[in-house]
Amino acid sequence: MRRRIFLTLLVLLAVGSAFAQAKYPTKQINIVVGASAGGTSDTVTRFLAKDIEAQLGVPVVVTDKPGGSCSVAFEYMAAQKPDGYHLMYMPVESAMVKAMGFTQLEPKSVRYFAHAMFLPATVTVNSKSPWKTFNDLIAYAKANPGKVTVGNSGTGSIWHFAAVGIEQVCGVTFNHVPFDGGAAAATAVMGGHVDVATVAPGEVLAGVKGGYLRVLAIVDTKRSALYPDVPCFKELGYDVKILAWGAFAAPAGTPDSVISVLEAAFSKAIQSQGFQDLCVKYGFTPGYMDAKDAQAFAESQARWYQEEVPKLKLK
Amino acid sequence: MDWIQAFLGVLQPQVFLYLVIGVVSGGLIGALPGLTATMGVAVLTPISFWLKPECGFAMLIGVYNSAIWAGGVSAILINTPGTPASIASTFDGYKLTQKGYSALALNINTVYSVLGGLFSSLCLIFFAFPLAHFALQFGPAEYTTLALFGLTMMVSVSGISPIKGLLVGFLGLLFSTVGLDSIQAYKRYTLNNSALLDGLNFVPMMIGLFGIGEILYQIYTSDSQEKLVVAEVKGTKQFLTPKEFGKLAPANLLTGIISVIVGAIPGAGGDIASIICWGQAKKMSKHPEEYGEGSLEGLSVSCTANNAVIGGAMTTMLSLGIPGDAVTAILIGSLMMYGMTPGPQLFIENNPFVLTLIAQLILANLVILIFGLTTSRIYPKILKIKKTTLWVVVIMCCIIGSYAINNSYVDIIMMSVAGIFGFILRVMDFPQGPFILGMLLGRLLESNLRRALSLTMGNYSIFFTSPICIVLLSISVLSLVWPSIKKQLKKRAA
Repeated sequence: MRRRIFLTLLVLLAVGSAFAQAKYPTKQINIVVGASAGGTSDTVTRFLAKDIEAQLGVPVVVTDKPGGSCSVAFEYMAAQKPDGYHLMYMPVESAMVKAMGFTQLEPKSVRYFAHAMFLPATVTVNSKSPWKTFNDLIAYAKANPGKVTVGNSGTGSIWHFAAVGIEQVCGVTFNHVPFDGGAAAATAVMGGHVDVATVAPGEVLAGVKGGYLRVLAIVDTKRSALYPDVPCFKELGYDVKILAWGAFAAPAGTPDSVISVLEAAFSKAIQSQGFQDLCVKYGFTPGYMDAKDAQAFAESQARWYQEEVPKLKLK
Repeated sequence: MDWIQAFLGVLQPQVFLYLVIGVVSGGLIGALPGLTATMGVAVLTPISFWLKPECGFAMLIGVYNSAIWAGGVSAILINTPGTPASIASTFDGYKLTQKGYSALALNINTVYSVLGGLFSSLCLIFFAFPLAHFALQFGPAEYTTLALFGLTMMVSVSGISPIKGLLVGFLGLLFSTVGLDSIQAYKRYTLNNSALLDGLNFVPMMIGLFGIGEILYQIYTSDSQEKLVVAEVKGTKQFLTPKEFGKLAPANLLTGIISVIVGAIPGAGGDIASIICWGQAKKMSKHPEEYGEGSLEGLSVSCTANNAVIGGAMTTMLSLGIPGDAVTAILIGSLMMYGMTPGPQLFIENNPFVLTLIAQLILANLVILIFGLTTSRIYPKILKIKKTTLWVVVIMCCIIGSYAINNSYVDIIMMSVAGIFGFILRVMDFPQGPFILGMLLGRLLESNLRRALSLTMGNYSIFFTSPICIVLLSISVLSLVWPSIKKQLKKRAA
C-alpha cells in the first residue's frame, strides 16, 4: 500500500513537473538592463518587452541596473535562479567586460537565446572640416600620424574599439580622446574641440540634419538607412571588424524547454514590423539569430576582445 | 497667431489634463528623496508612447518642471534634497523651518521656482540659437575652468569656518576619484566590487549625508522630556511683502541669467547651477552673514536657479539636438520615437510642435504656482506629527529612494555609511555642503583636465588661449581674493 502511494505520488510529481514546465511562463518575467533609462539598451528592451508580454500573457518588467559597462547587471543576472523568469539584455560589452577586468563573467557563463540587432559606428566630422570624404581623412592621418583627434564614448568602450579598428585596417594612428558617452563626443565635434567622432548613427543624426556635422563613412558591410548617401566600409574597400550589438540571455542552467519558449517569442518580436521600424529610426541593423547562433557569436566576440584589449595597453 | 494657437492647443481639456497629471505626479516624485526628475521622466516615457505626442509631452514636461520644484519641498521641510538640484535649498530653507517659517519658505520655493522657470522659457523663446551656440564653445578646457570656478564656492558654502569647509571639501574631491578613471579606465578603490566601478553613486551619498545625518543628529540631541514636536508652525507670515520682493529682485535676475547659461551647457545641470548661484549671491549680498542661517535671499536664489536651468537645457536640446542634462537626454529619445529629430531643422520642420512645447513649459509653471501655493498649507502639517514617527518615515523614504535610483542594495549601504558620516560632521560642526560640492565637481574637473591635456599632448596653454577659460579663471581668482579686498576697503572706509 505504502509503495503504491509512493509510486502514485512519484507519478503525480513527474506529471506535475512536466505540466509545470509545459506551463512556462506562469508569472512575471524580469529583464534587467545594464544601462540607464532612456539609452539604446533600455529603449530596445522596453520595446520588445511589450511584444513578449502580449505573446506570453504574463507581465514583463524591465529594470535598469547601470554600472561598470553592464557588469553589475551581468553579475546580478548570472546569480539568479535559472527558471526563465530572470533575463538580461546583453550588449556587446557583455563580451568585453572580462577582458577589461571588470568581472569574471563572460558569454560562456550564461545562455544566450536570441540576438536582436547590430549597431555600426559612423566616422563623423564637423561640417566645416576640410575632409569631404573618408579618403581625405585617411590621407591626412597618414601624413600626420597621431595628429587627428578622435572622440569616443569612453576608454575600452565599443566606439573606442571602432576607432582602433579603423586604425588597424587603414594603417593610421589617431589621438584617442574618451568622453562620457557617445553624445558628448558628438557634441565635442560640433563645437570643434575634436576632429572626428566614431559613435552611433543616432547620436549624430541631429547634428547632421542641422548642418553641423558630416558623416564620412559607416563602419559596416551595408549602408545605413539613416544615411543612404554615405558609403559603407565594404564599398571603400575595408574590412569591418567592430560592430556594437544587442542580444538576450538567461542564467546558465535554464532548462531547454524554457529556452525554446523564449526563443520562439523573441524571434517573433525581433522580426516584427514594429521592431524593424524602430531599428530604422535609430540606425540599427536588424540581425536576428537563434539561440545556437547567438551563443556562438557572443563567444567568438569574447575571444576576439580577449586578444585585442591587452593591445590597448591601458595599465 | 501661431502662439495663440499653440496656447489654445495646450488648453485643450485632454492635453491640459495630462499636463496636470504630470505636475501632480512630479510633485510627489520630486518631494521623495531619491526619486529624481530624471527617474520620473524615464519611468513615464514608455507610458507617453501610448498617447498623442502633445499629450505625452505635456505629461513629461509637467513631471520635469514639477519634480525640480518639489525637490525643494523636502529640502525645506526635512533637510533632505528631493533631487540633487535642490541641495542649496537645504542651506537656508531648513533653517527657516526650524525657526517656524516653513509655510513662508515653501511659498518662496514655489514663487521663485516658477519665476525661474518662466524666465528661462522666455530665454528659450528669444535667445535659443545664440545661447546654444555659446554652449557649444564649451570643450574640455572650458569645462575644466568651469569646475574650478565651482570649487571656489567651497569657501562660500563653508559657513563660519572656511578651514573646516575646505577639509571636508577636499575629502569630497578624494571620494570622487573612486571607480574607473575616466581616461584610462583604471580601477581605483573599487575593492574588486563591480558596483563600485562607476564610483560612489551621488544621489544615495547626498540623501545619506543630508537626510540620515540630520535625523541621527536630532535623535542624538533630543531630550526625552521634550515635547516631541519638530517645530511650531507660525502661521502669521506666509508671503513676502512687495518691498522684500523688490529687494530680492536683482540677485534673482542675475541668478536667472547664470542658470540659463549653465543649463544650456551640456553636462552641467541644476545641482551645479544652484550651488554656484547661492555662493555668488552670498558674495554680492549686503548681508552675507544671514546666508546659511535662514536668509530669504539665499533660499530664493537657490529656488530660482534650479528651475531656470530647465529652459537652458531645453534650448540646447531643441536647437542643436544635444542633451543639456539627463532629463533632456531622455526627452530626445522620446522625440525620436515620435519620428522627430531635435535640432535646428525641428524649429522649421515641426515648428508648431516646438511652439506647443514652449507653451507647455509656461503653462506647467503656472500650474505649479497654483498647486504649490495651495499645498503649502498642507505640507507643514506633516511636521506636526510626532518626531519619532517623522524620523521613521524619513529613514524609510531615504532607504527606498536610494535603492530605487539604480535598483542596487550597494546604494543602500553607501547611503547608510554617508548618513553616519553626515552625523559625525554635524556633531563636530563641520559643514556638509563643501563635501557634496567636491564630489559633484571632482569628476567634471579631473576628466576634463586630463581630456584637455590629452588633446594638446600635455600643453597647458589651452587654458589661457580660450576667452571663456580666461574669464572663468579670472572670476575664480577674484572670488577667492574678494573677501580680503572687501575687508581692506571696509578698514579704509572706517
